[in-house]
Amino acid sequence: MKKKSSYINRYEFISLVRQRWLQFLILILSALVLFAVLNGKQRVDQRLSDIQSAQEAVAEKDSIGVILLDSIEAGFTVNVPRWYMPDQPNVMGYSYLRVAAMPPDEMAIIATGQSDIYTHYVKPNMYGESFELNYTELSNPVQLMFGSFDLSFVLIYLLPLIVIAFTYNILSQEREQGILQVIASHPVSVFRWLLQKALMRYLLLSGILVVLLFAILSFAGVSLVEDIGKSLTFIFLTLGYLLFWFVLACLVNLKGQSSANNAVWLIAWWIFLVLLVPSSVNQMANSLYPVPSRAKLINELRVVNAHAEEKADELLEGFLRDHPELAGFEGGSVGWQEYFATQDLIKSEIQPVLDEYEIRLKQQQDWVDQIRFISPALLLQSSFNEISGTSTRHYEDYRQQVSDFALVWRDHFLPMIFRGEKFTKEMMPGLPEFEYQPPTSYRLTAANMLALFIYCAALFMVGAFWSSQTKTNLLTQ
Amino acid sequence: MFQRNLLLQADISQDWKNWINMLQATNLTKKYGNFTALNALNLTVNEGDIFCLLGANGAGKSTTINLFLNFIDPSEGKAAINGLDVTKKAKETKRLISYIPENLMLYPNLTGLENLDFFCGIGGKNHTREELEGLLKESGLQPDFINKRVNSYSKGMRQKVGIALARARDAKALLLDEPTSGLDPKASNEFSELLLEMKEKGVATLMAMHDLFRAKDTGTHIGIMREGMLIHQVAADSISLPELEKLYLEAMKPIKAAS
Repeated sequence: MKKKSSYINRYEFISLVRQRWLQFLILILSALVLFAVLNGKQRVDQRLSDIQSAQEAVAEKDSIGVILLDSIEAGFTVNVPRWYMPDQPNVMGYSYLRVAAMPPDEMAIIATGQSDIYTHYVKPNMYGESFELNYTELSNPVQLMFGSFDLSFVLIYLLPLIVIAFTYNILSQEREQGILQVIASHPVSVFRWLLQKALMRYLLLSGILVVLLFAILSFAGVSLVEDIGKSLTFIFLTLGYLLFWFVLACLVNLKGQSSANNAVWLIAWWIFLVLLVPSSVNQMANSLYPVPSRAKLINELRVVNAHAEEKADELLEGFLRDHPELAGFEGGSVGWQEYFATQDLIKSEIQPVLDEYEIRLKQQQDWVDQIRFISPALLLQSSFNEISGTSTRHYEDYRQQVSDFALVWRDHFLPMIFRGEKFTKEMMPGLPEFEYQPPTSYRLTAANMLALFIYCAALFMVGAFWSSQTKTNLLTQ
Repeated sequence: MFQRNLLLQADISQDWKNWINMLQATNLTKKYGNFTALNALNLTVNEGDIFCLLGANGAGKSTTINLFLNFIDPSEGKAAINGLDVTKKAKETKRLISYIPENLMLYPNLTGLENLDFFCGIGGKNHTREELEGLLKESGLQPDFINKRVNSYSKGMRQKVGIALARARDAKALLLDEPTSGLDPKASNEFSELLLEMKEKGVATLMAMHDLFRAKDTGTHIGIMREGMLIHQVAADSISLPELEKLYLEAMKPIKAAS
């Protein structure tokens, strides 16, 4: 005995094929996903290529440095300016730099996130001048959250529109054609029939989408089986978001209005949840936690720099008092010693200004993190950025790792400069290297996924309640 | 005052007491705010009866059908199918009925056969393809059209699919809302013949309509409704067509003139 659901599924499928809906879905989704993935791949490839070029440049420079050191150590006269001589530790610390790179995540193709506004490789030198400027995004990090035509744009912005086109008349069409009354005269509840029909369409769209994502991402060189946890999270989040729009469409249909009204309502929800809420959150973050201007920061840096240079002698004395391990060596360059002494002052003077930026940016991000639950679009975007390793948190973490590495790099050369020691070829392999350690917390993504499913469950319950209240609206004209 | 007491006695068959009251309305009332769409309707349709409800638009005929279908909830009273309250036993009562509206709408992208299979399936009845084809042919659908999409069907063809559906579902009662409206005389006659065939099988039919001739010709009982009330109820074979016409026209006269 075949079940009622099998009849609904079978004939729903046949109807969709004959209306060419299925073909349209496959075509439009393939085109969108392919275009987005290729865009993402181009961006990621560019990023990898930039990092590789930087590393090749470093390797080339190192090889020249080794040749020069060889010659110097063999007693030959090297015909290069003094400020290129690699036996000087300050030259090594300034010119022979390491690449501190943040290589793209395996899933970086999914979401551009913050990757188009933050740098993903730097070569920190021992002076560390205005170092933070390279890493501090001075506008609201949410501002550029949406924008690139990447996979996250397709899934967050465009997929709901496809769902709306696919479901806005999922019930109202039968109602307007008079078929719903014939269905309702059978021993099957309209709510159950609608659920079965919506479930069929949902599974169909999900199946097409998952197959396309696997196929096109594999084609682009992303293996979804390599980090299965991340891949499943990505798929579940996408399907959860899809489910949200399906449940919302069913809910709107259950109100018993015309197909045209349903379409208007659903588009209004799309505008509200996908466009208005994220942009309002952006505006509110800017208003609640305004970040001081970049010009102000640069001005303050210049003032502090000038002030420190004026007092360089005085500062060196104080610096050596604070660092007795660096005092009492003959042969070191007084100029460089004074320079580094002033850097400490500059750093301490400028720190409150930089802290102000950091605090405001963190406040903005914290506020966005807290309020993201008001829109599934925000939930999904923050999750995709996390999965792709392009979230603000990832770049903040990278900035911190680079800052730490810059100190290690500086501290490696500072004693040599103060002691007036030479840099030798044997010291080359001992130079500090940067290795990026991506943060691995999935708490935010897990919370987002849970929130999405709570949304769906809540809407489903509202739908079940409405279905018992709107019998008259649905079944009589 | 309406002529409530003008109730002509029906020449009901001697063994009527043994017949089951398949459709029964008891004090059935539907109000929308201050407007009373159906006012204390009492009506019984036994197995093998064809009860034709006549009346102007807005008289309460479709409301009566909708109440039996449980599409709307009654304000007072009860609609029962085979003794079961339709609001409390919705699924059980819907298993017993088949509904054909004025313009039976089917899925246009499916064939007649597929539509029949779908509606039988959601009604809990499984049939083989051959059985369904046989039912469609018996219901008068041209064999050429059985596997054609419904968007190429005439209204009469769709109504025949409706009859095939009632047969396939082995319905004990038919609820028909102006099923012959807009059909040409031949198609209308064919439809009536199909109804009479089902009557012979003991199917109880409640049919809202405007066609007095068809009501007299097909029905076993005729009711005339006005402003939500069943004001006349007669046995079809106890009244001639001219008498029925006169009765109907008098019932439709403005209240002052009628009283």
